[in-house]
Amino acid sequence: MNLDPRTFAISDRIKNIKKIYAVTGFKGGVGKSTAACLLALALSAKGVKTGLLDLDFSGSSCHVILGVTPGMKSLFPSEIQGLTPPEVAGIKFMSLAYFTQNRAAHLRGEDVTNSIIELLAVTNWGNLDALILDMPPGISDAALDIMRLMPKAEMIAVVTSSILSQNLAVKALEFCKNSGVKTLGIIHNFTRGGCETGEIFAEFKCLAKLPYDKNFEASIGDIEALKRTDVYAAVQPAFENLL
Amino acid sequence: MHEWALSDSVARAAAAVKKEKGLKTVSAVTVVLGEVQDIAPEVFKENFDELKKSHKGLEKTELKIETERAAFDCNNCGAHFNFDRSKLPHETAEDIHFMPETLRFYITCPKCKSQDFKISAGRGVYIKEIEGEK
Repeated sequence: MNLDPRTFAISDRIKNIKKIYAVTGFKGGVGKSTAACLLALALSAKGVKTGLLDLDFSGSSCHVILGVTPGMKSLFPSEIQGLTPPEVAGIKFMSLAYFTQNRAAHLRGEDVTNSIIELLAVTNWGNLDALILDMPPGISDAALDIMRLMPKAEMIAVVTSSILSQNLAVKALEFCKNSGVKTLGIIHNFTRGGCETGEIFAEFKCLAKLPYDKNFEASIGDIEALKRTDVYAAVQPAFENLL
Repeated sequence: MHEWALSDSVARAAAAVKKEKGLKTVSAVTVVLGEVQDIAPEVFKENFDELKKSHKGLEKTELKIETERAAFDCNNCGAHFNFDRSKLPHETAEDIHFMPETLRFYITCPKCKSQDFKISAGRGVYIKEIEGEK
């Protein structure tokens, strides 16, 4: 016998989380991490018990967006019946970045799966109304693992006006549908006008339209400044669809 | 403690196997603790002995603990190598304790210096055997 015990604990670890949202988009650079962080901030600001789990191991960005320095000497989980994530602006925030000392996370597929299982098995989230997952690009190991280990997770797809983003997202969402995974809706990022997704996403609810904001970059790392951006204001309509 | 979550996983896995195999009780569980994660056996056992009480049929389960030396296979040059955990700085050792995959961010293949290697043995916790009575 060579039995991995960790997977037997995952359903218990997430049993007191009412809703799990996997913020994806499948294509890199569409703003998944930004959308995930802003959604988490918006939920937390309204008093919703919120968690944020950065699963984009090789491109961890949530701690940069939130302006925190992960590490044992700065911000680190507490050892309470596993690892209890520290709170950032009221959000229980978990990331592999706590354990990497700001080094590149070069992980092969097997390591990605092992790291996801480890995080899910040892993280003590407690009671949450919503857990936001910041997903890596693609529908490879991480996406498949989350679909397997967190079957109640609902997809939120971030897309842009680019045909490259939309073409991939449509195919990936079709795959999710065929796999029995619910898609809550799409967030259209970098819009310059109305919802520009058109007929291609007709069957999905448009949760929010986030405008291109040339000043957004300067707000990264400053939560209060982020909350003053047009992008943060535009994410609010998504809120009513989330709980 | 962090070990609590892993001990809890073992208790839950043993309870699931007991149910699946139609066992009345689980007499013993043998776990293997890998050198990379460096779980303290006494803490692990202490947690398990407390946690087992909440699973019917596991109340008297004996936890047997074995340890496994870490071994790595370099994906770049094929070298097989080990490491000396005691030489790691405290913070690095802790990071690896919590997330064993981070090991590859801190050590390199002694032959080609690549950080691309497979942990072929001694990663973390696994169950080697579950014994019980029907």
